[in-house]
Amino acid sequence: MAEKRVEVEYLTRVEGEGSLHITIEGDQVKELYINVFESPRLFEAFMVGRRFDEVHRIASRICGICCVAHQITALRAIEKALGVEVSEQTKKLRELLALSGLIQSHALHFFFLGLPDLVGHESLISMASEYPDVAKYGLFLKKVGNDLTELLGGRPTHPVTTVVGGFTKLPKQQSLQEFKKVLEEAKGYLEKTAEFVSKLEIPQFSRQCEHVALWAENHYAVNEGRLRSTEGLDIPEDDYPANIEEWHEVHSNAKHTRVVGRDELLVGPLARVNISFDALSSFAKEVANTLGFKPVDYNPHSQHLARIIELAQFIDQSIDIIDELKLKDEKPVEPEPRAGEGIAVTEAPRGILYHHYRLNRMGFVEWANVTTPTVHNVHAAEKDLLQLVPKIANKPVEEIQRACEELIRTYDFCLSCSVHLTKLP
Amino acid sequence: MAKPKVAIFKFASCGGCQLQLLNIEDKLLDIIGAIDIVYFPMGKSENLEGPYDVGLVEGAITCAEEIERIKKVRASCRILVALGACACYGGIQSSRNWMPQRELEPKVYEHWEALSSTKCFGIDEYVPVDLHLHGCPVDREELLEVIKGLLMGTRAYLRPHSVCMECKLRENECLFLKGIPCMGPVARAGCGAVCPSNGAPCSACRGPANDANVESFVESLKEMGIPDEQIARMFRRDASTAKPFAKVVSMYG
Amino acid sequence: MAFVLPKSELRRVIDELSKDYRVFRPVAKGSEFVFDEEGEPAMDYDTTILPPKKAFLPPEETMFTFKRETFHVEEVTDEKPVAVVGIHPCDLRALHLLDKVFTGEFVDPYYMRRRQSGFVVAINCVKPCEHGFCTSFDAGPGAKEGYDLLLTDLGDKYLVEVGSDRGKSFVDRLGLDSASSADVEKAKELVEEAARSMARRIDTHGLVELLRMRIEHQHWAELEARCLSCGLCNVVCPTCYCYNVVDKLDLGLNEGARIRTWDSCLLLEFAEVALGGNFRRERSARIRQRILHKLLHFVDQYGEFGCVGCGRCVKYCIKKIDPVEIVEVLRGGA
Repeated sequence: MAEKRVEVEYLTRVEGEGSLHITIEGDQVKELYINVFESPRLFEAFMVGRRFDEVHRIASRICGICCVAHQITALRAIEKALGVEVSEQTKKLRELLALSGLIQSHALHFFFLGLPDLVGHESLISMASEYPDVAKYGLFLKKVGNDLTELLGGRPTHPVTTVVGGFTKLPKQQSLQEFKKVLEEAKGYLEKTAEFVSKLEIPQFSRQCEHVALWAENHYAVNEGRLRSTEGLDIPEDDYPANIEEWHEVHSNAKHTRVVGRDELLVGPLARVNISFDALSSFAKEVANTLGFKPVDYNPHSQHLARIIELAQFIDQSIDIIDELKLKDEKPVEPEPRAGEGIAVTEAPRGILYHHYRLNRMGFVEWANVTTPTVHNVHAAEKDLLQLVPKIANKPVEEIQRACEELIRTYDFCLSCSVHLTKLP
Repeated sequence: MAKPKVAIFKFASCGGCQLQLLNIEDKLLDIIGAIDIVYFPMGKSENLEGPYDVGLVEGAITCAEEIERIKKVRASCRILVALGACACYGGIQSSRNWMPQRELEPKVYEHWEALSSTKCFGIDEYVPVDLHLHGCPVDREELLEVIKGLLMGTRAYLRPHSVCMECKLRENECLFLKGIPCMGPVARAGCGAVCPSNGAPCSACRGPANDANVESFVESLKEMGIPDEQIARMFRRDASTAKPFAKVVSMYG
Repeated sequence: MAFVLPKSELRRVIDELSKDYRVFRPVAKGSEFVFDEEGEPAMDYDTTILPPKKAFLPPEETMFTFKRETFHVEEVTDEKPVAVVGIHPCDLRALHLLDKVFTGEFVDPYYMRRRQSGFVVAINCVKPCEHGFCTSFDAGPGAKEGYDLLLTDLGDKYLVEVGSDRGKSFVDRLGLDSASSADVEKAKELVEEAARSMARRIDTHGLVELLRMRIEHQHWAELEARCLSCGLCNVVCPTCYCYNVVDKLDLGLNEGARIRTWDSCLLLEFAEVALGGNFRRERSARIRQRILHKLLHFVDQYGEFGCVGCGRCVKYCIKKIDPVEIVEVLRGGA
């Protein structure tokens, strides 16, 4: 029987370096794997021996796009290991900081990496001439995220004000108030984006799998919450290691995760919107309505829509926090070095992010483990492809390839993040 | 004048330096108007093969395949720019260079025998580099200046002196004099002293300043009561392969 | 001609000046002080991080903008003149020295305009600062000239002395009461007392001749090992005047601006010329340049010492490299 091979040597419009390999015989997939060929950086190894106050700055360098999420997750895990309780103000500011990172990353992915697929362009650069307004919305929304990160963190990428126990420098209340105007303006652009996207054709493809996200009572969980899933998982973050395990599939180079006793999981914007739809702001629900989105949605392409819905949510949530904040001058809590272990799970732009550290009595890292959203999602994406490819196996290779690439891009993989965990067979 | 053909390459890194280009939101469309980005896998799907006028390289060299690849990249670019701390000095992952690979690899990889991971260096360990743009991440303003320099055929003015200069110009309270070990006096500027301006000590991500007097600085750290192991850790960060820094790490680590 | 200003009225002075000027005043920044255009004046400050020369010679200044295609050049001028309130006598004398540099043989129009239109309210030092040695150069703690108004802290009020017509008309506008002779006398005593308690001093007697003989001295090499060449001493110096000039263009390479920024002779690249040539490659040569320029070459060129003893260079130096100490060592031996 004739064999078809789909070989994507370098997945484009994806952060990091990965490739896709599919061998098809008739309408059967003989082999399929996503390979991450990012070079090994060995983060968990060189984090060992660093002091508690350096860890979040090093973790930040795992990923330039979701650096904020890595910082906050590392800080929370380290603080738990040290028994440091931060103030309510710090928690609020960290949530605002996390939201800024989420806005930036979602705007980057949706407009720069994802949307070109939906409108038949190879990049935002080429798209900008046909849809200058949409490009403008995208740049504006991305800048909103970056500017807010800069306002709180000193700069957009690898912010500098975060420390164990709090912040080295606080923003001015007035600057935050003024920023609200920008956020309000962003809502207008978001409405227009939703209208634009509602007219686009989203590939119809559905595959039910376990969606996992952080959940909190009456709140759209970002930095803290319980882990919940569409299959009934409901656990505190400390139970993550007992409930989500790593495993290896023979045909793949990447490390995978699954829910213990079940199978692969999907994390990220779609999982979050599905699990916490009720907690969305009324504006975010309106945007969902414009986009024709209804939970629970199992189409991976709806991840694009979920990002727009979440952009609306994150902007509203940022405005709420700014309204609530009455900033007072606060110094970071001074930690006492001690032995301990800490686990933190947060919602990074691409889904749940797990950091786990063990410190010795001097407060130095003895052991570190990080599992990123992309590691969680790689297997779900492969399973999607396994279901998709037989249905389109009779089409020309280029078409199969494009469909597969487009599906992979809905996941917004961050391969730099995942690489330090890649295991070779 | 034809628009220069620009390629953006990624090696071992976090992607944050390429991202800075996209983070210049206000001028991004102007940049695209001025240069022709023909190879940029993170940002576009149609990527042309070389030769290129300018190659911006992000990331460090950490395995055998990358040594091969950076040489090909060098051969395809008329001007090669090292973009950020990883490409200039190996970045944060170069801090592992003081541990044997045989101890490092099994901490992360079960099947470490299949790895071809090497000690980690900036790209100019292997190929000649025409311009170093420092920082973790690179500064957007400096990146713009470099792009303009490339358009004009001139070398952009990138501040080669200490971070202290920029820090004082911003009238920050000196962290070092307050007893906080800050690398400002020996670190290269250009970042606008962003860390000390936000109350955080400089970590010298841009490597050593022009004529940095590292020995004298280390003396001051010792007088401050900083233990040797911490001195070694301070220099073993984003630019640990820079010669004056590497010397301190080897001496105190 | 002297008046009194209740301390509670200081705010009124600043408000009144703000009508016509951008008013720089010392304000607290953490445990330090800076001259700023906003904030509550902290008149009992010891010293500021950057000297008040920044009001007249900004750390970064756009001199003009240009269009390459049309060769159109447009000079950038300030909208409002500057006033400095609370300038110490040492920094005031530094302005007098900068005047020699920028308004003498070679006129710098940017600096000159700001000085001519500027307003200066000085304040005498009644308690000596930790690092200063102003008496060495007759630069403090009392101001002698160069001010529009001069304040002296008398406890609950300031003595206000008038140094110019502009100062006089401003005092008239404020409607201040005349000072008593007792007030004038008290101010004089306070300044004299402050002068007596100044612990640090450079002996300037025969200094110029001595330094000429100390150009080759082992101490410069000792300083080479110590100095970090971070350039910080230049940045905080009230009499340093070197600047760098760069052009910044837009991405279209048509419109641009010529910008000058403070420079520093301690930096390796300062004396670098084409093809990598460098007149002061050794750190020792650069340290010597800074010290000798202040204490020897400035005298040769302008007939006065180029240091005012404000003490900032030693206060902010991590290695505590101190002109007072250097001169002592150079005097001490061959």
